[in-house]
Amino acid sequence: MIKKSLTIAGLLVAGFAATTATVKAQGPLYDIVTVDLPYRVTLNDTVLEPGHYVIRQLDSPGGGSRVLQIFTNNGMRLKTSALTIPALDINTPSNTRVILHHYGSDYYFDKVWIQGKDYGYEFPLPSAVKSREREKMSAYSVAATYEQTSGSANQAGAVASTENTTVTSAAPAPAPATDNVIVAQNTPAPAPEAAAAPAPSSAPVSTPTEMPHTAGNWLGMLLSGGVLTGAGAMLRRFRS
Amino acid sequence: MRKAIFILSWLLLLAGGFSLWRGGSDYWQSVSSQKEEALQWENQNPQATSADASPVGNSAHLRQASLQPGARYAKGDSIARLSIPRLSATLYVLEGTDDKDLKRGPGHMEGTVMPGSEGNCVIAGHRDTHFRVLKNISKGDEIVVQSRQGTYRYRVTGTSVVAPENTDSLQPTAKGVLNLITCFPFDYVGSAPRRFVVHADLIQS
Repeated sequence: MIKKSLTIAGLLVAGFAATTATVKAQGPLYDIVTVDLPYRVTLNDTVLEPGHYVIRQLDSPGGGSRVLQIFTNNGMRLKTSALTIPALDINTPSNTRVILHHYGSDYYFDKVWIQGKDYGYEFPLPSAVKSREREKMSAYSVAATYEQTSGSANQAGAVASTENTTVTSAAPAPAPATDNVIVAQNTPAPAPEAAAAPAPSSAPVSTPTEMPHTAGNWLGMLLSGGVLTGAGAMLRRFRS
Repeated sequence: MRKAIFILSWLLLLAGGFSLWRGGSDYWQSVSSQKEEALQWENQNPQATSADASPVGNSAHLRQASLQPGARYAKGDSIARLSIPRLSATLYVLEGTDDKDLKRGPGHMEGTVMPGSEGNCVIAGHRDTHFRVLKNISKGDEIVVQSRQGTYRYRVTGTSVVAPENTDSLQPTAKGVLNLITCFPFDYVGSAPRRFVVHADLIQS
């Protein structure tokens, strides 16, 4: 009886495709990007339904905040926010792009590149996705018993062989991101229900950046008027 | 010398007269505009004049307001009636917060959500006229805002005094909040150096 060890590498996790989708976006304003998401995108614990979103850098006194806020409702309602990692690109992007990770059936924000700027924002991968990625990359050895019988030996060998082949092909090297971007751009996105609704045409309303001037000065005007008038009257009296 | 004093005295009188006229007209405008807005509001919203006639803060109203944020108004339009029952104060809110708008009444700040919607609604007003009443507001007070979409109740959660550069109270929020902003100190004559912010949460059923 010959015993054989059968090594199976990788996990039999189907549907893992590290594709990155590029979504057309427009970012005409400083650190404000509007985007129509064609998919459900998960960010932190929030699932963003397909639709129109405004991604805005958090306003901070020093500038250069790494926190991005995601708004719906034409930029009026804060949906969620995320701390990003600065990303640099020596090739200044020629258009504004929001790049998504695609893991299984889920989409996650990957990067935001802004037209004409050599920096972007990178979203850290959620820990759950990271662990899934680690699982994919690690090999598992599973002990197996091979029993040779006169009639079915070849069949068993064939099965083992088939399994090995399957496992090998189930752990492909991750495709280059650039390829995925091109594929994603060229493949028309399935039209989800929410995306079918016409996108709001109005430009997002920007958040006020300065406090309103609430100093009504009628009392000051009255007082200064009284002082000036009094001074004028005194001068006239002095002159006479 | 006598001629110079003569000219100077007349200049002072003219400048003083102008200042008196300007200060008086500003104050009169702030009072009369609110009276006009009240008349106009009651003509246009006869059903809205009874403050408690409609159910307030219910989900139907909130939903409607959210769907019609709006209910985008032109600058200077009367958009809501704001009342603070404990202080017996009723104010008519206009769209816009520039000098011209704020002379007529408290102004809804453009770029913030309309009253009753989810998000941050900011209304600013002069401390020496319409929003002088905020001097006596306290935590727990109720603020009722009636707009054309419905009637909404807010509960004051606190107040703060901030520097004019501090724009935290203008930032969008996930939940429905109302921030009333005016200058501080209230008794300051001239351009007050700080801002007084009343924070209130939308009460939902």
